[in-house]
Amino acid sequence: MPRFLKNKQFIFVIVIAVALISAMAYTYGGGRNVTPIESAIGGILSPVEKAFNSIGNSISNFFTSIKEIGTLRAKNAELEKEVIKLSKNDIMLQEYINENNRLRDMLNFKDNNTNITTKPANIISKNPGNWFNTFNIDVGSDNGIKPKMAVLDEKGNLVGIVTDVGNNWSKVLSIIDVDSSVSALDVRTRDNGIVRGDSNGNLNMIYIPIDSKIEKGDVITTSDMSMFPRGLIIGKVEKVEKDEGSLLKQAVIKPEADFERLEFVQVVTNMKTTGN
Amino acid sequence: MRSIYKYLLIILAIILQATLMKYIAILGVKPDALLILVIAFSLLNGTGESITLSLFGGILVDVLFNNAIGFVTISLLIVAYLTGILSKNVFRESTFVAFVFVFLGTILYNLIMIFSMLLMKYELNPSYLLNVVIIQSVYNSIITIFIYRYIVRFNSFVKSKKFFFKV
Repeated sequence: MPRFLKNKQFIFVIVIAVALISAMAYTYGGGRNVTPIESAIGGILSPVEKAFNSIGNSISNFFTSIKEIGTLRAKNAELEKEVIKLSKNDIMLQEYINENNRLRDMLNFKDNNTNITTKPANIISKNPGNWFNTFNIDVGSDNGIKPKMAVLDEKGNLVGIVTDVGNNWSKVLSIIDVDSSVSALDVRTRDNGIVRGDSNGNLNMIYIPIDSKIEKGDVITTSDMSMFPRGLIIGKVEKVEKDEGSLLKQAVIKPEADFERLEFVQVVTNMKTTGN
Repeated sequence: MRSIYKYLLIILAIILQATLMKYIAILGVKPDALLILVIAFSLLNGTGESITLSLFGGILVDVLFNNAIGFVTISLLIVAYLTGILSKNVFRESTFVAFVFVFLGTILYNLIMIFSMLLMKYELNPSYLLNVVIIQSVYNSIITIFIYRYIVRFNSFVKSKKFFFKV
């Protein structure tokens, strides 16, 4: 018998490692209600996390406001100009909306976006490691949250998907995580593709047909084929490149949601894939 | 069981890491307080402690944050166990030794993480991998230089003193 097999501690470590690998295989992919023990761990720690997170936010707000004092006047003038421009735009938009409504009625389209109901939530903590882009929010199954619900930021841009749900907390996988993939659509050219995270803050859209006219600046939204509601804005195209060795294109996409400064999110509660 | 203070310290480190650490990230890479603590305690107290602390901290992080339970725990366990074994042959209380252990430990930790991600068929971005591994190992080991002596003091304090309540 080899010497290391006599070392009980070593064998213990190996047994634990095997157990952990099976746990990994079992829990991978999310989409489950977590076990009562896991739920309790999160439930105990989430108020503490919430407190520390708000401390962190107030500290960073303090420093940003100091930084901004000098530029306030210039910024104000700029904003006033912006207001005039926007109010002009608004009138124009109203015109477009009316026209759009008429056309929509004509085509008998059903607008999915008007019947989304959401539940607001606070982000209480982010993944402490560098490899994964997940975060925890302070609502859970008590508030009617179920796995696989879409998570949006305040403005309604797609942020991620709920993976695991505890009683009063849930884990959210952001779309910029390497593990995330979303079926997407270029609004202008109607090209379908899959948007995947590359973990340093950008997204890659793959499987775009080679003859597509996708360009820098195009808006990418969720498509009808994904489990998300359609028409949620994902981001804008930043760069288009030809995929080496295959007859497909891919594009680098800058996400519309600001993942660095995310504080509040909203969870879409009436999704068809979650049984509602 | 006096080491409950170590467990409390680890919980505090994880919470600080998850809430405040994003403000001191360099090029988007955060240092890993949990990893530093676990390596330091394994170095000081050997394999037994390395197993219990890495299991405790790793499972806590995995349950709270990760998509698959075990990602962090298994990497942490391997790094801490190796540190525990090797710590027999070095001068444990030297900051330089801790510096080397944390530097190499962080590299190994991230490599195991990458390996498990490859097994899970993640699509990885090579330049980002290199960034995380290099920046984090430098960042972690520099932090170790400054805090290791306090960890040593805390460790001997936990070993020697009587506390307000018995645990």
